[in-house]
Amino acid sequence: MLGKVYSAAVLGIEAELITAEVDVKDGLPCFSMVGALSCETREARERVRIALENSGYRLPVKRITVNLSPADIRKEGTAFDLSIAIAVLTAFGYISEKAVENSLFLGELCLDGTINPVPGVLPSACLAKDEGFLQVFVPLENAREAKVAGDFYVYGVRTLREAVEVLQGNGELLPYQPEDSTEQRGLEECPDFSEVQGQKMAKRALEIAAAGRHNVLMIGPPGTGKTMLAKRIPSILPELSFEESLEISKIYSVAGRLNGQRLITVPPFQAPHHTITQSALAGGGKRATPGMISLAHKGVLFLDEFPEFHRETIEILRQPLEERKITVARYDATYEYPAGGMLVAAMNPCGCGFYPDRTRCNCSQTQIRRYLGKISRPLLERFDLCMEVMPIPFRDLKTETREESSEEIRKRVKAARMRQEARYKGTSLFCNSELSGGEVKKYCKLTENAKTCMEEAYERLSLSARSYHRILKTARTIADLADSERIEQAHVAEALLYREPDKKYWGE
Amino acid sequence: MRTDYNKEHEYQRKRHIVWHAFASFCITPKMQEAVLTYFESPENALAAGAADWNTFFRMAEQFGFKASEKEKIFEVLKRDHEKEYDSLAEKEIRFVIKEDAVYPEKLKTLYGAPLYFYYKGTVPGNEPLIAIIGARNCSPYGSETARRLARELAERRIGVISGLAYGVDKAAHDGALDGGGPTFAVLGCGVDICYPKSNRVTYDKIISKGGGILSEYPPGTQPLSCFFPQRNRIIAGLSDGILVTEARKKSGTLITVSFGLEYGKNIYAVPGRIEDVLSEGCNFLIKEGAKLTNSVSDILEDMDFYEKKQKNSVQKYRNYENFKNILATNEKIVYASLRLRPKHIDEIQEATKLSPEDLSKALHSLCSYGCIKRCGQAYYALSEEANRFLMER
Repeated sequence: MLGKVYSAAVLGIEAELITAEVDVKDGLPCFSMVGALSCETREARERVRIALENSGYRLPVKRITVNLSPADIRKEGTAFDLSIAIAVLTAFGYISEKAVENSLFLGELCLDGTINPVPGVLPSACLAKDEGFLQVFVPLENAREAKVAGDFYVYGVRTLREAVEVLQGNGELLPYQPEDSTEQRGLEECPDFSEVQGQKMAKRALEIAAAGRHNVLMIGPPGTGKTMLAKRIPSILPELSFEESLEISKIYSVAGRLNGQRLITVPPFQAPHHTITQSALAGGGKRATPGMISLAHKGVLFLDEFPEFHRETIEILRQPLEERKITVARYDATYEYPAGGMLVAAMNPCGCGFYPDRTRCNCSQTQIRRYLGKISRPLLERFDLCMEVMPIPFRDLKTETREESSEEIRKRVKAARMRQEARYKGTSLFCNSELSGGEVKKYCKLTENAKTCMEEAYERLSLSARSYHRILKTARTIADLADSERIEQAHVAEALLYREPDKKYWGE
Repeated sequence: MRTDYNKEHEYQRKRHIVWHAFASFCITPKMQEAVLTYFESPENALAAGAADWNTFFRMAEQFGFKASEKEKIFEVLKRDHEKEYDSLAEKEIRFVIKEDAVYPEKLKTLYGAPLYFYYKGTVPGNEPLIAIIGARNCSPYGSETARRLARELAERRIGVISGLAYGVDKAAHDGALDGGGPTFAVLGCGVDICYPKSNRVTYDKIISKGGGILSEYPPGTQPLSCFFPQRNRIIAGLSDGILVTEARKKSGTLITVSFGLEYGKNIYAVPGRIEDVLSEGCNFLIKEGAKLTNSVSDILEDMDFYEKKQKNSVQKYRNYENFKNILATNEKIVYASLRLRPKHIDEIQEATKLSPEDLSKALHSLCSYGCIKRCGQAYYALSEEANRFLMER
């Protein structure tokens, strides 16, 4: 007697089809499992056996062998429990083979037969859709998430018995119907830029950064609203398309952070504490889960108190920032997670935080230089824009002038993004920040005035070739915001405002 | 005649070797005094045997000398002093003792004047010198004022003396160099050591532009905080007036000032706003009777013969009206809104009401003229270098 039931294993953010095969033979009674299993997967043996008995299915005294195929993929997690239990019941004839051949099962069993939610349901459901399955059985808590993947039957099951009854054709459970999707969080719920008084130039810098998806560094004394500004960046990013939303949701699903939500529809905002470890930021751990940098995909990764992060932790950001993806290698597999978020960092200008206000700051030049030196030059050069935020004068706090709302800014950002999309059509590029040296030459055409302005600045500030390119990229975005195909002198001059502090003047 | 000269030269050389050896083991004035009182002359000290030194240390211990210093002295005494003295010349370092003709007249009569000193470049002669000193962690107000006044003094061939530290000191040297005048630095370490290292360019320029680097510490001496108050007395002694541009209430600058008062020098102070911590020292000095100084003429008044002689040659640089004609309208607006205190770009925007494009354009061109400078990332302040731009036009 043989039972064959489908399930899925998640590798990175994609899922792989797994078949749970159960063979029942005469012989010494035992329940053995094979197929490259991790220890929590192997423990399914006890959970499945006891859950079956407690759900009222008696197992005859036989030799039961379970194989999870293909046997060379390492299986981790507890999502295979349900499929093994169903395969056992099929092998014993409780369920017909026909009933399970078009179904995919995910879920962790408890000893009393109830089913616990599992991470990674969304990628598995997407796989089921691609492979043409007609119905998917998932824990009730994951049903919303699974239904997103496509138009098939999703059964949100609470207990093993419920699932079996559906398969036997006498169950009362109906396929899951999503409630109205209006309860979905929208951009309207993000904190809004109109709540920030003053800080005009900082807002402008963030607008440019959002339009070209540049990385930004904010420098300023404590309590000037750096965090407040950063939190509002998602509200000016363009709305996510369904595909983008699905991609982000998959990452959250794999990380087990979807929390019963259907889809992530708002650009994510992640602000890890500065004590974060390398693997928590980049992704990794025993099960190679996605890190903060992937969770901020298409959104904002905000690193407050930037110099306080461990140097090694920040340095690992260098490669993913460039390639917009991160590869986590483990001995059995290599996982690739997207990492296409905007990096926004904030720092104080010096140890005490008040430089250049010399009446309050008494840090010596050496101290100030050392503080900035905590961030390596190569990393500093990953920030296309840099902005010093000023303490807010009291009259700004008190006055109730109407500030521009996020929606107005978002409109301009979207227009600039559309210009970029049109320009980079047919290339692998997506936005201005991704331009490489050669592409800068091709796409950033300067007017004569702008050229002389740039040449003069290059000489006077002794810029490096890399900073030169970064300034041009920023100028490109500013020109896009101004709806201009060529980069004018004013655009270059403004881009120059946002370059990092000059080495010479920092601490003079 | 020739042989006389040679004899004289030989004698001087011998004295130098002896004093140089003395300098290498008697660094603190306390030690110098104790050794000279006991042995009466450096020659005796060098010739003395171990027994004599032991007696000296037994006595000296009462005055707080540590036994560890004894080892150091014995080690120094064993060295080849002649060879060491000759190696100075290779490093272009010269040595002067009190009895030499080049030893500055101004120092000779002072109580506590250095017995000898090392120098690179030249030694200040009898020409007028103004000491410009102030805080290391200064604001652009302090450094730019120092730069301006130093340049204006230098243009009138009045030398500037300072300590080559960060902040005001460096700005004063740079200003004097801009004005084409000689400038002198007195260090709290060996003359061959540039401290802080980042002042290397200024250090080299001081020597190449006819000024000098002075120190009473033997070459190779590392900067120690206890040396700095000592070198301040030399700055005070060599100057004809001491100008303080920015100083906190408790500041090393005030040590120099009190030396200056002891030596009977004029004290000048640049006033600051009452709430500025960095100007508290200056305002305090003014209250105590220092001369309030807001332009170079306040100093020149006290040396009136200079003002008359040099007046015409200087006039042409001071024509700010001319300067304003060169600027475009927006640039003028931005320039007028700026001060020596750094202003954040938001403040400038608020004051000028210019659009971000116009503002950034104006800031960019003003920066390229050198009329203003960027401090930190988004702060801008007036710069004294504007005058150089004017001169080039």
